[in-house]
Amino acid sequence: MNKLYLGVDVGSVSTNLVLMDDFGAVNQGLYLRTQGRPLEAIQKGLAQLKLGGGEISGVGTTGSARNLAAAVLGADVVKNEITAHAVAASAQVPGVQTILEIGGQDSKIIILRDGVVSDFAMNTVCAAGTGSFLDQQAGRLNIAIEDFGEIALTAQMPVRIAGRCSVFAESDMIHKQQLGHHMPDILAGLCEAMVRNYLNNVGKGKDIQGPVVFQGGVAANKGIRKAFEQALGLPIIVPDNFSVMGALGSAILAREAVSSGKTSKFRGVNVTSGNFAATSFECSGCANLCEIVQIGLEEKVLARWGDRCGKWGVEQSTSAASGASA
Amino acid sequence: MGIKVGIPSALLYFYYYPLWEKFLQGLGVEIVLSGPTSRPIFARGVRLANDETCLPVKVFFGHVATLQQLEVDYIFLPRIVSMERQTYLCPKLLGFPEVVTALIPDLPPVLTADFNLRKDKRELDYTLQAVGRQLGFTLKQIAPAIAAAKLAQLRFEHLMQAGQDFTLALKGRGVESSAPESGLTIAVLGHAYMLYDGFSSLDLQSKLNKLGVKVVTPERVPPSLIDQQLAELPKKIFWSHSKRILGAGYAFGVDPGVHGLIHLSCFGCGPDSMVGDMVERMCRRYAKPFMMLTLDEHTGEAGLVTRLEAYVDMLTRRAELESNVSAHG
Repeated sequence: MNKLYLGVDVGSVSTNLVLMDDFGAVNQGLYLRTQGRPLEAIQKGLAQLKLGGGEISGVGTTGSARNLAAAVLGADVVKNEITAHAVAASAQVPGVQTILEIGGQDSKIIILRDGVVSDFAMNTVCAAGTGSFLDQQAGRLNIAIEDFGEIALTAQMPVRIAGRCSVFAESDMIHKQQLGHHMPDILAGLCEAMVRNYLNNVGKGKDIQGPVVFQGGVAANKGIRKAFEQALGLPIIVPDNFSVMGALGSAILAREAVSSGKTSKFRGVNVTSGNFAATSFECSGCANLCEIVQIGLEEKVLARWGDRCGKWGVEQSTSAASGASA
Repeated sequence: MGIKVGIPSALLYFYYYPLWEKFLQGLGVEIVLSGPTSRPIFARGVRLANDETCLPVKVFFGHVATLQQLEVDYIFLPRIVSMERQTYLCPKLLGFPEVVTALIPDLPPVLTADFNLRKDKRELDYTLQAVGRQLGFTLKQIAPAIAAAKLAQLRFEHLMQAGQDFTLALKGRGVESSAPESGLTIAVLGHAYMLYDGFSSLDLQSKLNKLGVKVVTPERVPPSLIDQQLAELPKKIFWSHSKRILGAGYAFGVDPGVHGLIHLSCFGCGPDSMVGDMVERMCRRYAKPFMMLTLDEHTGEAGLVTRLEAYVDMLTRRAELESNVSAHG
């Protein structure tokens, strides 16, 4: 039977799954909307996977809900998004030195030297210039997000839009519309503003050198890609699996984790039929009143987190936590 | 029953509590602390504080409001202008006795005095005398309490320099045995009231410890080394705490035993914005990994954990690579 590795990236906006074979080739990649219900998104994704006679021999999770995903699936490795993205990009574009990643709610830059992460940054308090904002603006202008980039590429003269803050950017865009500027010029202007903002905030002081890889959901947008090329004066590589790179990285890490002949902790594909439930309660043990989240399968408690003192930990959750620190 | 004085366990408590404690105890005064920051304290602070201020000041408001409920005769709100020559504390801290009394109604009587050692170290004695006299003590009673207090503060600072845990150093407990040092060491820079307040810092230090990292903080660096590190600067740093953070940052930056630096800053801190950038530039010069973390009241744990894990991953991989290189070279 073919060995397959499952990588799952549960982010705020999208939940991505990748099935990778033993040679590192992507067998299947899924990009689903999380829609605020990570548990359902994971189950939906699993149900859509086609194993085709293969067997899942390792599972890795990443993304902001990586611990949740790990508890539900029985993951062999739990890793943060930075490491997962860097691993995937290095595998797809050997020698990569800079990774630009723009997702739904966050954006990051990762600098690699000799195949090792040497510096990184993530956006701080504000989500200006991430996928959600583009989504919202596309919705407001009544264009499909898929067409955004193509339309921006037809611009004759991109207008200048303030990109520092999404609220200002929006009012700036409305103002330019009312002056009679063309839609493509406004969209291209927005792309340039986003790139400027990204390079000023996230990319501040970073040593950006080629090869540069652009990944994350926003890499689908050709307008942003072009704006990056112009701003950096470097060719931008968008890998085939740009939207699921985090999941791919997790799959690679999962293969590493079980390489020494370990058996996977994977609960099996029938996880989809299980009745998972996330419940929460407030611990009244001390003045901190921590909000404890509890993940259960039928009657069994799989994991708990949210407590500052650690008194609510269960065995499975500690194994997930130790995976995170490995 | 003697006099009960309430002290907020926040802000300058993290710098000077041993001095205040020994002084007041030496006078036979009972001290009531507001205790470690917790959710209710935090919530009270955010409700009461002026909205344009920084996280530590908001937390401080919560501590003062907590003491209000604990039946104390006085609340100790010293105005610390300067604790060493030619430096000042942040203006937000200089103004807080007035801001706090203006924004929190019906406070117990405030015990306060201006600590201004900018020109003269002896001011410390005079100021403590003024505090003691407010409580009705004579100079003769006050003098031994001052001497004991200064010793306690000195001992605390030495213990912190020796690497003692903050809570233990505060109790004057000596370092028993130094654990063998292995693995990664990360310097976490920031104000003491962020670094050692588990709630405000989202338990940053214990999170790093759980990842197998040893943490060093600015309080480890002796003042003489800090002055030495800053001697090259074209201008003197005139904020005392920022001076310590910057000098320690420079010292850690050139220390081969420190693998990386994290600057834990709070949103809205003016001095931090400059000091952080200066440390970052220095780190770039020495190719030392640097990460800036900005915390505010809405900061989620998840984002912090992701950054810490990624940072530790990065340092681990770098350390492995470097040891490989040296093994072959």
